[in-house]
Amino acid sequence: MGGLTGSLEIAMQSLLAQQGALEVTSNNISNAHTPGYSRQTPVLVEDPSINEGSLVFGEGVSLQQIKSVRDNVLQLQLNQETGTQSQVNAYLGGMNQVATVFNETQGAGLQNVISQFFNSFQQLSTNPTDATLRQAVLTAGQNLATAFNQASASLGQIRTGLDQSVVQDVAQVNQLTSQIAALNPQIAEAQGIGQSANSLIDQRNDLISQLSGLVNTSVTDAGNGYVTVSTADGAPLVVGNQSFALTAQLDTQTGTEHVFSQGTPSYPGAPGTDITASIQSGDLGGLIQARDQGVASAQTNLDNLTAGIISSVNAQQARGYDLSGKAGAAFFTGSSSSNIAVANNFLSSQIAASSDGTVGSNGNALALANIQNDPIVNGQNPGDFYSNFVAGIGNQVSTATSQQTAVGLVMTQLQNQQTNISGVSLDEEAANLELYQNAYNASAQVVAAINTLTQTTINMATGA
Amino acid sequence: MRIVYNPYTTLLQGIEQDRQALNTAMSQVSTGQKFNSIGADPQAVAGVIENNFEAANLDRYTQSVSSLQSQFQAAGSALDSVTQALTTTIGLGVQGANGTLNQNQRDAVAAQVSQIEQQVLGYANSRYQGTYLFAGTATTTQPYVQDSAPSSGIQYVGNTETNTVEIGDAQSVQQNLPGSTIFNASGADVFKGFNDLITTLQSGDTAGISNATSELQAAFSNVGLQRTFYSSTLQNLNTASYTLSQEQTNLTVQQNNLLAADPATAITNMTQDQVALDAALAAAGKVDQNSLLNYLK
Repeated sequence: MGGLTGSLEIAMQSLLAQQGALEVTSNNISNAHTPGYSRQTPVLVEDPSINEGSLVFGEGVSLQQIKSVRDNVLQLQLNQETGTQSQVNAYLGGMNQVATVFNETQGAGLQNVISQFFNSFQQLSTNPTDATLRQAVLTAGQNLATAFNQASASLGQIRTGLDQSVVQDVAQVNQLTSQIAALNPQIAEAQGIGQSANSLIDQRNDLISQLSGLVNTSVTDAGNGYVTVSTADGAPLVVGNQSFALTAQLDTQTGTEHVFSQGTPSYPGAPGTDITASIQSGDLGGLIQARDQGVASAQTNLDNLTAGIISSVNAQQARGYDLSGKAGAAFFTGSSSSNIAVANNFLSSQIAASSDGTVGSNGNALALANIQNDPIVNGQNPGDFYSNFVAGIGNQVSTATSQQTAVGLVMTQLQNQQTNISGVSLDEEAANLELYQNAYNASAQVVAAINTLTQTTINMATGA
Repeated sequence: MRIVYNPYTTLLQGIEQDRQALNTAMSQVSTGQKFNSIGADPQAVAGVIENNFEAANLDRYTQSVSSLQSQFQAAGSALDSVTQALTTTIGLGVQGANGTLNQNQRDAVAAQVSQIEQQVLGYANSRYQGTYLFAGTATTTQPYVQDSAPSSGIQYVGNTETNTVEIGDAQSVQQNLPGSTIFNASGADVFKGFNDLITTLQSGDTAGISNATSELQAAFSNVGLQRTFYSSTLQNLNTASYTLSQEQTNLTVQQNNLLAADPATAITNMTQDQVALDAALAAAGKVDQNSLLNYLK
């Protein structure tokens, strides 16, 4: 039995414990709105009791540890959903730009120039020798070529913009992985000497969450406070205290930036593996999907339409005769939307309106006009192909928009769940504050009481 | 269950959704369109584009019809003049065959017929917007020229080809008749009739004058017959023009159904969205910021 001194020690221990608990509460309140912060709880434990004869005396309370409250499974889900949300947002951003190029609801797009071009041949058929009508065909052809060139250039600009974002994302990934790699040993060291690494773990979790927003990642606990981070297909990003930077390199075949992993001996295909195709989540995944699928598909369709028009118009030209009775020369040059042009020095008199060599014949002009009804692109006429092509882009935007809404709802739910688990409740902290304050006050009262008793005892000894 | 009081996230999401809805409604009211991006309703957008192509098609047919109408009116007018000239000439032929005229008088009639022949020659070489109407498809070449080779003294140098112009889907009309069909039909050659009449008038051959007059009557009948091609085709063109106009109207209605916003609905939506946004903003302003901390002493 410790007597008054023992009681004093228990009270003092309690004061320290309550003080620590108050400190945790204060810290929680301070970080109530700090992103990535997980609320902390003081773990108060009863000190081991001591036996004196048949009596068992309690030895008070100690603040054993300060614990962060977090749900790792939920955090994992959040990271995955963050990746999906970023991917959808980035993809939709790119596709919305593509949709703007062909926004027929606002008068943009190619329907008008295609119609005007073929209709100019129809007009010419009413008077095949008319110089004005011939010039109108030439102008309509130039307008068509220019519009296709511009659409192609716009798609190219979108692709370039997405490419630049890929490079920026790769730089951001590298910055985040180097920060995670720096935190790994700090956490391990703190845990190794029994110190709390809660704030460092919060920081690392926040960085991993940001990383998930950029690229699909897999995080594994390597033990001793370390985590290993890799891309979904195993390309290492952080191992131990080392980060492995991704690099963006221009692919000469496609003319776009590809992402390469640095690799480690344990990663198959490393080093320098092109992991572009395997990045399917995060902002990077969305950018690559928009660039390599959305924009590329639009470009291919546009080029197919252009090639169909060029080849069929030129072939039909060759079947007819111009004003001088010569077989029709090629009207268009080029092979794709980027380089289609009316043939250099092509004169309006060279339009092969005649089907038999007589100047007033209009048979070939009609045939040229009717190309718009012929299945010249993937078994479809230019109008049907174009409307399906534009509707296809619209469908991609529409699907991605729906997906964006759905992912947003899931994210909100997960974030609410996480907030309910790890977020700071000011009500709860107020209650705790009151609780620990009361406990502190009570312990202080005990100290005061023991002080009085001690004084009384001393007075007894001195006869005061 | 532990609940952390955090009303702002939900409120902000609500405000964002209300603003989005209000923007959409305002856009519908200001543009008169249900949607302004191809992602909003891809199926309707496909319909809009197809309608635009179809409208352009109708437009080209309409332009062709309009152009042909003018051309046919010009050709019809020229042939009307020819039939009038032939009527006059036949009258002169009947007069010339009358035995009471002396040679001087017949010569005067011959001179008059010759003048008329030149007028008819002019009609046969009629042009419309720089092209010869009765030259077949050799439209840049004057079809009838003076030439001593044929007995008529006038040679047809056009061709016998015809053009066809589309005036609708799978609907087309013949654009022209070659001059040879109109003016040089076998047994009804206009210029041979003129030439024979002039020659017989000058020679005083009354029987020949009668024969030449008969030739011109046959030519008159043939020109009249060929004239019906232009009048009946013009009638077809007028019908086609009306049909195309109706189709344009139908297409506009379809396009409106696909794209046009209903103004009443759009304005109602805008008002409702504005109210919803105001309510959300007001709610945000009245969020209870108290916690237990405010009540602990």
